[in-house]
Amino acid sequence: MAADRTLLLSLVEEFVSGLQDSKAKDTSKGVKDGQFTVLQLVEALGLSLTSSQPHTRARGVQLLSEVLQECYGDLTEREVEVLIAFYENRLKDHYVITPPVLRGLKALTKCTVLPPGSAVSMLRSLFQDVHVQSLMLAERACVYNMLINLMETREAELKGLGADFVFGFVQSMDGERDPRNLLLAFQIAKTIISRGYDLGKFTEELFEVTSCYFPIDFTPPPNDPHGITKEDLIQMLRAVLTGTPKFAEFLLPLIIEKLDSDVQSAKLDSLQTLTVCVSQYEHKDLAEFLEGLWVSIRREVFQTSSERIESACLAALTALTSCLSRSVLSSESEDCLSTFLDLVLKDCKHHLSEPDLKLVWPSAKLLQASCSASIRASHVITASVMPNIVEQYNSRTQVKDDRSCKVIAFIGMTCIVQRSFVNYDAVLNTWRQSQMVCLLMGCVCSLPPSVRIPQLDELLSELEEMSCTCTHTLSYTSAAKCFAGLINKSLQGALVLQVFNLSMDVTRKASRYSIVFFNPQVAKALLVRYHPLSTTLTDKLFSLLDNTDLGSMAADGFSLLMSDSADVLNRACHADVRIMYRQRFFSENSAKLVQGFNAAPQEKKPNYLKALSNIVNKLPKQVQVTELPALLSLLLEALSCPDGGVQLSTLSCLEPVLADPPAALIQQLEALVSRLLALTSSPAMDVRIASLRCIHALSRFPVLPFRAQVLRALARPLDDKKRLVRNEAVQARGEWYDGSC
Amino acid sequence: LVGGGAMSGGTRLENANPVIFQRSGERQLTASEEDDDVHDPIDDREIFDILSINDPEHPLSLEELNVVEQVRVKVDDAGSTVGVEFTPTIPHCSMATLIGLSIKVKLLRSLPDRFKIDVHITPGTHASEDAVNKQLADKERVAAALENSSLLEVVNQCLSTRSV
Repeated sequence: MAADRTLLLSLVEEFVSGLQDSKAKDTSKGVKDGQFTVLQLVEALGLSLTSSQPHTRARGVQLLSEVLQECYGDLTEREVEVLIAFYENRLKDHYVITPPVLRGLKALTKCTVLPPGSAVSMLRSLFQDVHVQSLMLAERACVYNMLINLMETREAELKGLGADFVFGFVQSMDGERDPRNLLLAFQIAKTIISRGYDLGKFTEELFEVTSCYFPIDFTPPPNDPHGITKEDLIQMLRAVLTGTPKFAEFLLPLIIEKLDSDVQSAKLDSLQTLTVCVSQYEHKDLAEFLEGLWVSIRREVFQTSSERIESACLAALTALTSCLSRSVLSSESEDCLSTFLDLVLKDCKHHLSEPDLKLVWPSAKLLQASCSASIRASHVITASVMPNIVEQYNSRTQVKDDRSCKVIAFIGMTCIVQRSFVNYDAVLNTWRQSQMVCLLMGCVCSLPPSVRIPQLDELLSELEEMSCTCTHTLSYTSAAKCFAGLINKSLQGALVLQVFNLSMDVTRKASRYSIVFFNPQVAKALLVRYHPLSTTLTDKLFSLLDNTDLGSMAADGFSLLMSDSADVLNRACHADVRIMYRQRFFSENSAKLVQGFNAAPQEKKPNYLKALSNIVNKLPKQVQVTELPALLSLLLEALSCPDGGVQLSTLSCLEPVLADPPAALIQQLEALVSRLLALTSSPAMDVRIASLRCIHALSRFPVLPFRAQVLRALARPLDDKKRLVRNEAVQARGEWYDGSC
Repeated sequence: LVGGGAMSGGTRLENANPVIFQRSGERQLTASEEDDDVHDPIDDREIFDILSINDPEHPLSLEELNVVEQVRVKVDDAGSTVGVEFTPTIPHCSMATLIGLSIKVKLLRSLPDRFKIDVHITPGTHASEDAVNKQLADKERVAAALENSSLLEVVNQCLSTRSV
């Protein structure tokens, strides 16, 4: 339409000569509204575009480019073809025109209707006619975005360029400094690698043009509006460098070099990069660098002053070992995993036997890191290391050293959880198995609750199995203790119930062992932290007091329940032990116990007495004194019980009370004294001694009616066959003589 | 006052084989002593320990300060005899008698009835040793001492005034 044409011409005039930037928008609108086409615009720009003034030409191109930026989506293929030809041509023009040309081209790269061959053509022109690094920031970004756009939509075509594409890109990027542009460039590089573009003979060039930025050293300016962080750059670059095994031969030496530098962040970046790259590599990519990598990692861990570096090293080592473990063994090739582990063992193993030097812990960590990489690795390492550790443990009376505890804990746990101790007979037989669990108990149970135990469920399951089916005493007792120690600290929610149901299921166990050890141990773990489920377990134990086979052992179980645990459930091991758990238990259960006793048939009463005395015996003295009156008749009964154990625990309960006996006791004094005297003839020397002590304790109490009787009766133990008994008798009798003063 | 068997002013004594008692440290417990099945015979040390019970509230414990270290004990468990020689440093014969009586009483109370107990002054260490020994052998004298606890109080007081 003529009016439109007039409009168009005036818009062009205003933009190009009048320098009115806003006209570009109006022009775009006109194209969009269909008032004129882009090609008509080109035509209208004819004069400007052929002006002898570069700035005029630039202005003309600029108008066109701005319109294209708005309208590229509506172009036809024919239009695009023409425009591309035009723009490619303009690339050869004066440099002042290049920026708008590139913007126009960029818009065109977004066209879905790009004719076949035009992508290649554009890039060819670009690489040929433009020196990207001479451009300003925005124009360089333009170029990168062009590449990104084309790679997205015209991959196959670009691949047709072969290695020239990569070369062209490398040249474009070389020397780039702007962080935003670098992110774009890295993205392109990443795509080249991940989409399998042919690198040809430019692999090293591509590596070098990106790796020169490694490790990233970037501090964002204050109030940076773009918000690019150092981490963004690190991650993008890392994705490039680690993206292909083809880079291995270049990357690994670089990593070693940077790892050897003094800069912490460089070390860290290297290690993290290493961890990522080996997950893509095969052993042949690593082979020639293994020793160098190991030396650096080892050095860092041995000397480390930073926890971050250390854990990065260990992660890297695990990844390395894991990579090597994936290799398939063939008869010709060397077993590289084995060779590598030999290296690790050679440098670390001997330090484990030197418990006082500071390299124990680092060595242990290194071994653990490689051990946990794979089943193969764990077998090799444990086979080599465990015999030494077990031997070392045996030769020391107390494993006080927290560090070596952890050594053993981690290596041992990895072992147990991977079931190697069950299946791998060549490595560990039953005897060793029990050693292992003892160590485990000693170590794992002394860890503070903040230490998270990996694979806890499996560990608990294994331990429970072992404690209920194993017949070797040390093994099953240690397993039970270990189990108890763990659940005391870490039991939560659903796991509680699961564990609980397991331990209640008497039928599936070698029940004797279970009742004697496992149940009370588990009950205790729960009891000491006031866990409600402990009640059900202890009720079970109470109910067994009537049982013909197990009653006596159940009574013994209460001793375990109440006693101090030297090895596992105590505060020093960071166990959750509430104060007064014994008193609580006693006050909640004493009535039940008395009732049970009263209701029990005669032959079962000793079990109740034994349980009672086991419980009361462990109460703090003040509590015993307060509680005893209620249980007095029961305790007196217990003195007549034929069971030596019951007698003994009752006597030791009574002794502190007798110095200042409560009123209830005074009424029963005669009965008490006669029973005590009777016990001075017990076949067991412990009982004789304990009863003499009780008689001694009574000496301060005015008991005139008995004096003569007691003095006479005490003459006999003066001639006891055991000196220790005689000593007690001498003292007791002496007191009874003087008491009357 | 050094422990061991060296008597104070030991140049007077002519005993070729002095019995040495360890004063420092308690008697060491042996495994057989804890074994229910093994019979422990009464030995010299045991008697010595009976006499040197260290209880500040016990009236006889102050013996240790003066007398007990100078005691020599011989016991024959199978023969049911025990002999105790003591060397008093206190010159008064009444004190020596009292101390001797204390020893005897203590042994009477602490040993089985079967024992024949002989307590006397170490020969050649006291001017009136015969007189003292005679009293110590006198059953009635001893019986009176056994009954009379205030006697022991006196001994105690005398000893305490002389203690270091």
